[in-house]
Amino acid sequence: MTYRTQVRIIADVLSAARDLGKDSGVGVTSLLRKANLSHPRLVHILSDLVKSGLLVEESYERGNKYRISPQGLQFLEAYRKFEDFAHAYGLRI
Amino acid sequence: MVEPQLFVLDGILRFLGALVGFSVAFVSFKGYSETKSPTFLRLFVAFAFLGVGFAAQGIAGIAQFSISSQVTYAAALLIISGAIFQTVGYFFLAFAHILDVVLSSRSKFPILIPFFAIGSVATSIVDITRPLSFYFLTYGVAETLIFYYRNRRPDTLIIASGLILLALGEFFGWLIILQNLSTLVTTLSLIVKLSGLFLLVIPVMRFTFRRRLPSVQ
Repeated sequence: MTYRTQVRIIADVLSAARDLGKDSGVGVTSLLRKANLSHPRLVHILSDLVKSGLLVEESYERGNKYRISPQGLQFLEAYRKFEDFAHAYGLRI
Repeated sequence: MVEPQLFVLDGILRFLGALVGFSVAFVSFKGYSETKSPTFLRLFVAFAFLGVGFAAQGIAGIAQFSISSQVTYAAALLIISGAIFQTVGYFFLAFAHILDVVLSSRSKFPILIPFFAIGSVATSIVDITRPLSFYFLTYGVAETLIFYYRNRRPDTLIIASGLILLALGEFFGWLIILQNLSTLVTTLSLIVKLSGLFLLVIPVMRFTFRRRLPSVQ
C-alpha cells in the first residue's frame, strides 16, 4: 500500500472533477468513488478547493455539484509537469 | 602531482557542476512554490548546496592556476567548504529518498547504515567528505534504480546513470587522495563527473522546453 501526499490527493480530486464533470459538474458521491476518500475528508478538501478558486461550486436542488475552474486546470498541468520532474529523480510528490 | 592545466579543467568542470546544481535547484524551488510539496524543498536544498559547493571549488581551482602551484589560504578554505557543501547536498538527496521510502510506507527501515570505515583512513576534512559523498550518492543511486524498476521511466534511468557516474567520479577522487594516483586517473575522474552532470541536467532541459498543453476552457 502506498500513502498519498496531500498535494497528490488534491490532484486526484481535481482530475476526477475534470474527467467526470466536464459540462454540468460532478456530485460528491461520484467524486468519493473516483478520489477514494472518506466523506468528511472529501468535504473538507472540496471546501478548501472552492475557497482557493480551483473548483467552482454550483448549487442544485439535489445538492452541490463541482466543476474544475481554469485555475484548477492550470494547477493540474503544473502538477503533471512537476510530477514528471520529481519522478525523474526517483521521488514522488 | 596534478598539472596546472588540470586545475583549470577541474575549475571549469566545477563551474558547470554549479550551473547544473543551481538549475535543478531553481526548478525544484519553482515546484515547491507551486505545489507546496516538501519533496521539492528537499531537492532544492540538496541541489542548492551542491551548486554552492561546486562554485566554491571552481573558484578555488581557477585561483590555484592563476598563482601557479601555490595554494593560498583562501583557496584551501574554498576547497574544504566546497567539499562540505557538496557532501551536505548529497546527504539531502539521500535524505529525500529516505523520507520518500518511509512516507510511501515501502519500508519502515530505509537502508542507510553508518559508514564506519571513514575514520580509519581520513587525514583531512576533504578525505572525510569524499567517501561520505560517495556513500550518499550510492544510496541515491540504489533508490533511484528501485524507482526505475517499479515505474520504468526513461528519465529516471538517465538520472540514475548520472548519479552512478558522479559516484564513480567521487570514488576515483577518493582513490587519488588515498593512493596518490597519476594525472590519468584525475582526468578520468573529471570526464566521468562531467558526463554524470550532463545526464543530471536532462530533466531540467525537458522541463524547461516542454510544450505547453492547450488550456481547456
